[in-house]
Amino acid sequence: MPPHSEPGRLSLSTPALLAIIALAYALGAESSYQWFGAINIGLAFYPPTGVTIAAVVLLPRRRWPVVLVGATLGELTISLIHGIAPGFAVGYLIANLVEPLLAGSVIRRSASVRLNGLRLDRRGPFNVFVAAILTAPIAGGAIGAAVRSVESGANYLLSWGSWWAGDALGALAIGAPLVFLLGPTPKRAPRWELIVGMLAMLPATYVSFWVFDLTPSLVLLPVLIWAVHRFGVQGVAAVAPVVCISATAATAAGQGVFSLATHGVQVQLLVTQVYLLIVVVAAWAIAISLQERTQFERDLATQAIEAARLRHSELVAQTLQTTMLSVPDPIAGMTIATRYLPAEQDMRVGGDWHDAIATPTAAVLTIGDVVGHHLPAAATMGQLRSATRAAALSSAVPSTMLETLDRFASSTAGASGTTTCVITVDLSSGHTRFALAGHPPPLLAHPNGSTEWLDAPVGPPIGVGLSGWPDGEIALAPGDRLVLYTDGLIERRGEIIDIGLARLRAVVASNSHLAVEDLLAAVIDACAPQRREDDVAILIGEFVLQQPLLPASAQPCGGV
Amino acid sequence: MHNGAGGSHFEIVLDEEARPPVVVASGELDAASSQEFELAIATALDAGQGVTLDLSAVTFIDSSALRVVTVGLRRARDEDQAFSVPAASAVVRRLFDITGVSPFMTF
Repeated sequence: MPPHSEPGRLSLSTPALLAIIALAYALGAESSYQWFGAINIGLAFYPPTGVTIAAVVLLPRRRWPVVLVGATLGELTISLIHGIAPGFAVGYLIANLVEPLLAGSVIRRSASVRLNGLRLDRRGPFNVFVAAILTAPIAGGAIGAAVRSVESGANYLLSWGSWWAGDALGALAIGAPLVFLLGPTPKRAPRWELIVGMLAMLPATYVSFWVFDLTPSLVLLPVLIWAVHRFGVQGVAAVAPVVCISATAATAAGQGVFSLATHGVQVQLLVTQVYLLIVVVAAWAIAISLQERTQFERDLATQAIEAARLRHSELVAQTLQTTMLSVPDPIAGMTIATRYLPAEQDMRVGGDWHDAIATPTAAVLTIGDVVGHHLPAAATMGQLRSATRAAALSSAVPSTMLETLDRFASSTAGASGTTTCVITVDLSSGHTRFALAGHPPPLLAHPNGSTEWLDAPVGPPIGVGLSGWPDGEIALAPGDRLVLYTDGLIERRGEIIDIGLARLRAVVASNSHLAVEDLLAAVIDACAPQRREDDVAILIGEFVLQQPLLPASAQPCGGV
Repeated sequence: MHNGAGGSHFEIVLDEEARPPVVVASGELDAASSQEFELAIATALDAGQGVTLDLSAVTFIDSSALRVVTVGLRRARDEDQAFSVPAASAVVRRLFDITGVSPFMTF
């Protein structure tokens, strides 16, 4: 199939379509004369109704005129061959054109046409049944029976009933299978059992009708039930026409239990058709509900598998995150508390990290935020966190570390746009340097409760090809604390970021008396949004006075 | 467009006829809207005439939208195209300041 063709849609040229409709219509109409009693009683099982209704359901509205012209050709040809006067032939034609127009309009209204074909809404199947077997044949029958009464003096109501039953059965037994076969419904190749079953119907009907005058239910119902149970909609589409054709033909030929009814052939056929209508409608209804139920169960199973997969992936991500964000090793001269909070929704992890690294000369505090969520962000975070450790061990200058990280991030999938902050604290002097890459500023809190932002000129996020990360400098005194965090702590929808920054600053200032761990808890209580959409990482480090260095003279020195 | 998870609402409109093309974003710029936002900026830059962002009706912006802006900025610089944000809400302006991308764009 070429890639742009619409699957299941009829894409025939206008002359080809016209020829097919006219031929199918004429064959159906002629079969009604030959096999179904029309030659005797005028009105009988009428397969062409199925042809026109299937055509208007399957074809876009702009192609309906072709259908109507094709039907006109087929109808008039057969009528004139059978000697119907031109005036009456036109009358019957009008009745037969009203039906597809009416059915098509109703069905189109209850269906939405998408790229991949026709889809029925919830009331769709019901409306299709009503349109195809009630509304359209009843309306067509009102006209057709009037023509018939004038033409032959037949009883109007009986003619109307016969017209309705014959055309409704045509729509149901021929139209519905045509829509199913030619329409967008996904199809499997017919199984050999189904073909055998269809073929077996013919001798079975023959035996039951011609030979034994059996009630048709004995043969038809078991086969239909088998077909529905085994093949669903496909089974009904295959077996219903066979059932209808054989039963109607048998009755028209004066065979079978229906031919025993009194009141003449017309009533016998009417009874046959109403009986078949009920049986086939029931079969379709059961097949469709079975199919919907199977589909529903399949959808449920798919959803369950998807949910399980997501849970599994989240579990892996959480494990990864918690393993990587383990409590940092203690650093002499720095008391550290850290916390990672996944997003509230589904305990979804993201790409936030924190770390504290002891180098020979300093403590390096860092925090960062990889764009995105789930396993990929967690994996990228792990790489960037390791890269930061390596950078911290190879340089003592934050801006140099960020340049290294930027180069690393440029060549690492998913790392583009990462924001981070690196602070180095010389633990012997308190001299502190820091650099920011697109990251909100750390907060410095003094023991007396005063606070200040470390907002030296901030550089761009890393891994996007922009550069320029100046170093800021500040001196820490013992007892000073640095609060590093990610944007999840301060950003909320409908709130400018300054409000979140002020909230953080206020809670840190008013809790300066607390120990580091308790301060961290207070910050989370006050700042972390109750229903977090983003993950949050926090690190608080307090510069503590180390044991004074031993004087040089006291150092154990071999040989002194 | 709306996204059930975060309940975010946004609209991204690209005026390709304008010179330079204008991307007007409104509502919440987050993970839900960033794909469309990125596509709009990339399409605008494809014309080679620079891009103008109107972010005056943006009520929320997060790191994923910030990444989209920085990626666009980078491309504009590489291709010597103008990248201007003459209209931005206070929320956006503050985020650009705090995250250090303001110096790379013209306002």
